[in-house]
Amino acid sequence: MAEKRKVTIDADLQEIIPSFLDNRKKDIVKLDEFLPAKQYSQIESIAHKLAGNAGSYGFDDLGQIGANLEAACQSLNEAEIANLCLAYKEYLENLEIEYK
Amino acid sequence: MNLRKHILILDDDLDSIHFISKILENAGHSVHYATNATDFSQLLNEIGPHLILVDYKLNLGTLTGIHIIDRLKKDEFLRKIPIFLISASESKKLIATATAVGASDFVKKPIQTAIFLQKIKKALKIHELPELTLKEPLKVKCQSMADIIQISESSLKIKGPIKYSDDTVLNIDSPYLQNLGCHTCKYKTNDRNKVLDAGIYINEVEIKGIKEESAKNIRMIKTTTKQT
Repeated sequence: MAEKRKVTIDADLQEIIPSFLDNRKKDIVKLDEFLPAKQYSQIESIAHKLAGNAGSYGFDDLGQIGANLEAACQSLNEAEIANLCLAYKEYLENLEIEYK
Repeated sequence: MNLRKHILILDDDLDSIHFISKILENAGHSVHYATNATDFSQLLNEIGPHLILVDYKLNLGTLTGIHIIDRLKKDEFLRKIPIFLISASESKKLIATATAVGASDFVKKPIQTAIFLQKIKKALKIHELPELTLKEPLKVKCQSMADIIQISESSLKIKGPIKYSDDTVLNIDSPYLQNLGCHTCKYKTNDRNKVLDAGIYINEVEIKGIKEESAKNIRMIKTTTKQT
């Protein structure tokens, strides 16, 4: 079992974090559909929003995954896109939040 | 002024909207948002926001945040509202274009909360007292308490919190004037009003259509006053 990834989030944002994470789960469902279909423009759109928002909420590493995924989509680096989609999924599965 | 400031967001991304709303509401602002152009226009007219935040990448066909800012800044009545462009990109070209169309500032995503709030505070302070040029003089109805401090057969002076413009028709509800028989008279301000103190004005009001009986009553007051 993968090690938990602990992330400290501003307690002021606690109220809006569940909705943010629910939307990330919806992203994963969409990625599972877009990746085999090679719909990279759709994946890029998801990645762009992730890159912009995750860091704002305090999920800096997730934001970086989003930025890398967006860049991989722009360069059509299929192997990297697949790796980063997997990294996105694993990040969410192993996430443990602490509010401060 | 410590009035709650209204901030309007145009963004098609609800995660972004929720985050920005949360930190602005925590800072004491009132936040409104739209995810499409129609709702945005409606809110713009309903709220009259102090500040607008527009995301660059909008799901509005070929329209971007730049186009929205450009349109707002060309509007005679809206152009003084500060507008921030929000974008994940901070290319020099984008910032230059945003500035050229009239954006007040630029916010880079991911948003750094402290820097963002500082920018908001600064923009709201600069635009705290917006100047609006009205196409036509605004006609308003208002009511206030005032003291009648001087009266003659042709005019009276009233002291109160409102400085009236010339030729303002007043409806004066005064038992004192009624006792003098002046209830049928018309009252209209002239240009001889003056500032007595901060927020206290003396307005001179002309009395029209006064009856001889009422004029006599007023002369009697004068006589009485002189005698005492």
